[in-house]
Amino acid sequence: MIAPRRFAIAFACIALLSGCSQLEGMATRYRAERMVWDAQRRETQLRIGKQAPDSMTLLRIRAEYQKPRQTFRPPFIEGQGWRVEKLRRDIARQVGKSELTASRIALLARRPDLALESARWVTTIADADTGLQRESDLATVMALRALHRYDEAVGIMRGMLDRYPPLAPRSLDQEDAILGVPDGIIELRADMGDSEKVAEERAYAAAYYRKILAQHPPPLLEAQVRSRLSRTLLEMGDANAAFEEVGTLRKLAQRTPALRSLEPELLFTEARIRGTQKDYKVALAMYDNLVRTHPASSFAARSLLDGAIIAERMGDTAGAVARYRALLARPNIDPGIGAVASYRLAMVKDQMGNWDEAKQILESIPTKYPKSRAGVEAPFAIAEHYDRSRQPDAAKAALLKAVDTYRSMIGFDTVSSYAAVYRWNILRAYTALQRWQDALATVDLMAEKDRGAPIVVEALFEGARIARATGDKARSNLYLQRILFEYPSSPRAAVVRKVLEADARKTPKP
Amino acid sequence: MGDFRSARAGIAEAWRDFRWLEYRPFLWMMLAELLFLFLASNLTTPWGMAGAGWILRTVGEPAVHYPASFLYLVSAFARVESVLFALAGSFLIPLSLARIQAPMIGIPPKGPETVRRAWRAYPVTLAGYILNVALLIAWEYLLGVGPRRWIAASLPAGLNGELLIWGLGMLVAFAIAAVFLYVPIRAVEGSKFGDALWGGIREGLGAFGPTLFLVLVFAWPAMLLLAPLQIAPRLIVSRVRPELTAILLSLVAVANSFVNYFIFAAASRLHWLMRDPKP
Repeated sequence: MIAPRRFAIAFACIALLSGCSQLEGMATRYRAERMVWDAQRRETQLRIGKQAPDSMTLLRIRAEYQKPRQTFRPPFIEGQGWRVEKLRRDIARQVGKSELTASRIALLARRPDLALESARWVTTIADADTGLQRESDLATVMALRALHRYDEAVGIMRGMLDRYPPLAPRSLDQEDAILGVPDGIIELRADMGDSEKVAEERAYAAAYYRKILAQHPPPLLEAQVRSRLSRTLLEMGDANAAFEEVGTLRKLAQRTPALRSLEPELLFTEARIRGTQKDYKVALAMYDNLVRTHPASSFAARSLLDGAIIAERMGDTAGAVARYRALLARPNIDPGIGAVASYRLAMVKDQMGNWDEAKQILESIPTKYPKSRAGVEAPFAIAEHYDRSRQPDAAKAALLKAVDTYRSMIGFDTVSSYAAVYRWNILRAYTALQRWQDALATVDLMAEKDRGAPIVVEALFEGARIARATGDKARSNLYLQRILFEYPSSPRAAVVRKVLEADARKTPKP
Repeated sequence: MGDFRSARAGIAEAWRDFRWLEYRPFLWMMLAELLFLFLASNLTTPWGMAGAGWILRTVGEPAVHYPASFLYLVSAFARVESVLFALAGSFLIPLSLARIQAPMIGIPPKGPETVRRAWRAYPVTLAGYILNVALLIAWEYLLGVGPRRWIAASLPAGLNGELLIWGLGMLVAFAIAAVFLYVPIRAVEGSKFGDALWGGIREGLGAFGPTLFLVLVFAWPAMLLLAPLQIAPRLIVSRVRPELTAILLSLVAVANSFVNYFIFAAASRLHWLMRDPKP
């Protein structure tokens, strides 16, 4: 009889303990983890045999990842105390991360509206979990970008800069992702083709970096911020201020042993400043020296690119070609650099009279680097070559091929911010081909699919011009009115208003 | 050769004369192990967490998270089994042995004298078990610094190397267990502490071959179940289903319970045959 009594006591203890909120919290966390694991498993099953799952499959996967949100409601567990709080945070993180995965999958399923809803919900449960807050903010930005709500996306990114001060890294290899946000904003504006806003964001970025520096951060963080500041200042065209920053950075590197690895970056920035100041010979020598002394550094690749551009400016086409080729032969080349190098190499080859090779390079750029300015411009460059060499039939064929290329690029990633730019180029191609109805159909498509993107204003304006030229004044006015209603603060709005007012005056009153 | 014949006779007799009463002490240990596995498989509930969570946590904090809990379950189960064998087994194993011996010495298997003999054997059985575990830990360490490295260096990475290391590890573990097998048997017979412990070890060393033979004869089915859990636990957890670990461990617990009973039953018969060889 002893054993059954002992078992009864043990069970009573377990029952008593199981009422404890910490154990209840641990069990809840375990359930949440199992649900997430089951969702991952289900995703693997649903993806089997499908390289690119269709929207229906993706939405089914999303539903699996949404189960934790539907099962566990905030505040997730009852009770107080730091242990319970920690468990609550753990559960929120599990549920939040699962919901963020659901958001990412909704984006892939071309449902940015659902992605945005999920991301915003995670923001409401993130509370003091800065990591989760950051991730939910980033997911919100991605969803807003897909919805073409660029200004809101930029607003959130700016908010992130205020909310999350950058953390000092342990080594130079690490960098807090928040420091990359200002560049992200600039890139977003550049993708939209809004040069005015790009300049504005650069100024904002410089002010942000200066604000951090004013707080006297630890040396490693200071070095990272100064490096970004000098680059931004250089892009703003303020070579003197950039040079001053590099000088301060060099002094910092000299007195901090952990910053010795900054040397290639310092050499590169100094060479770049020389280039901006049109001291080409010195700049070229500095770039070549960097490639020789630090061949494995990522700055060696950039030095080859900048050196090639300077060689082009100095009329040394052979030197430029050699540098472009050396750059393109490097392993794991940064696509941003590779795209520019390929495009420029093709241009140099064209100038040297080697059109066949130039054409071959230009044709390869959109597939190799689809998300790049060079990838967008390369098909047009082929048509322009034929235009210059007075081969109208070849130019026409090149334009038609360009339309096909842009269409396939849209097909690869329909939610990319580049999709609007591709459509804009399709419009340009149809306009050059004088296929007016196709051009106007593209304007209509852009007005719907890319609503909110600044480039749509240009498309609507171009559409109004074409419609007017083809005698369809009503359609032309419709496009112009759309600019006024949907993009009242665009630079085109004032001109459009004048055109419409002039039209109204000319129209006879009943 | 004669000892091996006796070992075979002991194995056959133990298998033929299975008695529920003699086996029951091992059943209690098995039930405790199954209870732990049941609780560990129900960490989604507060009672599961209360019952098994604290034991799992002794292996590491990830052991109370999913699916890592099933990865750590093998180690946690080994700890539970060790503690159970040390604390409860030091009484229950001699109790089973005393019940096996009872008819031969003419006392009732359920009588108070049988229980008294089992309690008397407790300290020396515990000491023998602790020594056994200490040697196992030392062997685990030596395996890690020696043979494991040599095998890993000489064989290409993969299942063959892992199997060889595991097989070698198990064989030596069984050899160590075979040496200590006679300690509780002599303790139940009423030998004094030193005589039971050192005499048991001497007897184990003397009859090492036949004893290892009978251990291997009974243990292989349980080893087959244990092999995937010890060789590729990650594979089971990540590729198949984490919960399969608990199911396999339950089967191991059931199999081990019978295996241990048969090993002790056969070893005690071998002990008598070696002590009083019949013409």
